[in-house]
Amino acid sequence: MNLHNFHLFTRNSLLMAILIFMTLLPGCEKEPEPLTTNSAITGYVSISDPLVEEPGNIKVTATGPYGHKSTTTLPDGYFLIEGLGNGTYYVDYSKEGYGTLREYGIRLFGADTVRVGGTSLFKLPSINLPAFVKAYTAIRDRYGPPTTFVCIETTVSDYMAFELDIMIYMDTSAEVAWNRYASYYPATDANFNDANIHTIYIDPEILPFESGTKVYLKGYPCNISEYGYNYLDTYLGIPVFSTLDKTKSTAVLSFIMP
Amino acid sequence: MKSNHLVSILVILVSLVILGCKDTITQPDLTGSLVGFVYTFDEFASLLDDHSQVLVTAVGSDHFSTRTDKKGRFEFKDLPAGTYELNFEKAGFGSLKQFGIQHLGGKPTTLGLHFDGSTNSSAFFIYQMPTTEIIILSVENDTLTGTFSFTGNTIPDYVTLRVYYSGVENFETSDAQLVTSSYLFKKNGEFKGSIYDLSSKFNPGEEVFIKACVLYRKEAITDFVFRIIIGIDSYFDYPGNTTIYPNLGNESSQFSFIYQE
Repeated sequence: MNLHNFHLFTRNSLLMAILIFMTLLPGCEKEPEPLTTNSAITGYVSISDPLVEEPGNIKVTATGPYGHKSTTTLPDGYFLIEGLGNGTYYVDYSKEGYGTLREYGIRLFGADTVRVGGTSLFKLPSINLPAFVKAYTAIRDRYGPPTTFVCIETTVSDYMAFELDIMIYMDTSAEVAWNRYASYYPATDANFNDANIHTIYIDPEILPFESGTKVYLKGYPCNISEYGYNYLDTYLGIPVFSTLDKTKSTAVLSFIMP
Repeated sequence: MKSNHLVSILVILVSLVILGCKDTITQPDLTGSLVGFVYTFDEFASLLDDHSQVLVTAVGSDHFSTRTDKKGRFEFKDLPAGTYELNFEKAGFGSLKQFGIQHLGGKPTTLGLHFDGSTNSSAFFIYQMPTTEIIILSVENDTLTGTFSFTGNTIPDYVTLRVYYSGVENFETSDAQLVTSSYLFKKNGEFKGSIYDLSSKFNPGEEVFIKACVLYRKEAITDFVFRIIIGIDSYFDYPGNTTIYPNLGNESSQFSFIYQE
């Protein structure tokens, strides 16, 4: 081999080696492979309304290190997802027309069956979110001894709307939101005031604010039946209403805590 | 020419062998987030507003560290699968350890909190170290009376003590015949509480020696509107065969009394 051919050979070989290496390099970062594939997640999940026609058929999806696997519940709410690899999963419970729940931190070690769930889904609210016009405090004596209430005037026109599917978040900051608040309360007490304006009433005794504090509030559509049964996003550390529509909200109003 | 091609192919094959990927077949090759929550308390076990800047260290095959945010949340991202010891430290606070934290990797591991309110959650509690000094302890009948020195302007309504009893003078607290908790409530400028029934350990007329340490603890708090959060605030020291309370105060001087049934 003469010198020219040797250089040619060396250059070509190096180029080929580099090309092969760059082709192989992404392949070195393989997707993780499970050590075991015989774990399972099982449990029960139901619909909160006992009168619903089809309580089953809730989609349960386990998402883990190797992708996700789904099943649907039986009429009694039972589900089983088998053939899962070792690792940590979260499980989503969902059904059309209902809020979706996510349960974190399900650990599968291998050849184990972990029980989860034991919860209920709530129907999404169908409310047309009214505007919040004004917030203030006033004495109300319609249903008992005169008591100061927090009043939120709305644009609702339905005389039968005594409860509204609205969750009201409150904070001492004007940045109040579903994930930034000091307190929340459902619009369970709504009526027309003496001026014939539909008003939501909140008893300030239940609020954690000092007298004289300026409190900001904001409302979101939410199935208020979920109040007291809401879930904890254990990853973020925030209580969650699965039926809360975060994309819609009222204007921020304020009142002075009585 | 032909031999040049053959050599090129040989080089390529050697490259393939050298650059081939190793299969991981014996160790779980997963990483993932590990999330937990810490609550901080002052020396009297009152909940503080800001739980930030607690240094959390995960000790496993390697050391990993992170800090809590204002709500006490901490997250180790891309933590390799394994079993870890967690250490919680902040200047002025007792340091807490937890052992045997199993992290499998994949989706986030969330420690302590439970997503459904029907089951109680748990979190890590750390307390400021006590600055209260025990000046005098005395026992008369079944009443323990304490005199204390408090720093700052805060005089608590009660003092909680870990009290050590022994029939041996100048005993080590690790050799105490009886260890109890006592709550001494402030009344008329004094702190008084009941002592534990000593009849199982001591005889009437016997001189009993006592020492004490200030120890405030909070069993649980309410957070997330209505959830009970049970505190993890101690750990078992296996070599020493004893429970460690990180915020245990300094040991008092020894006092004595004659046990009367």
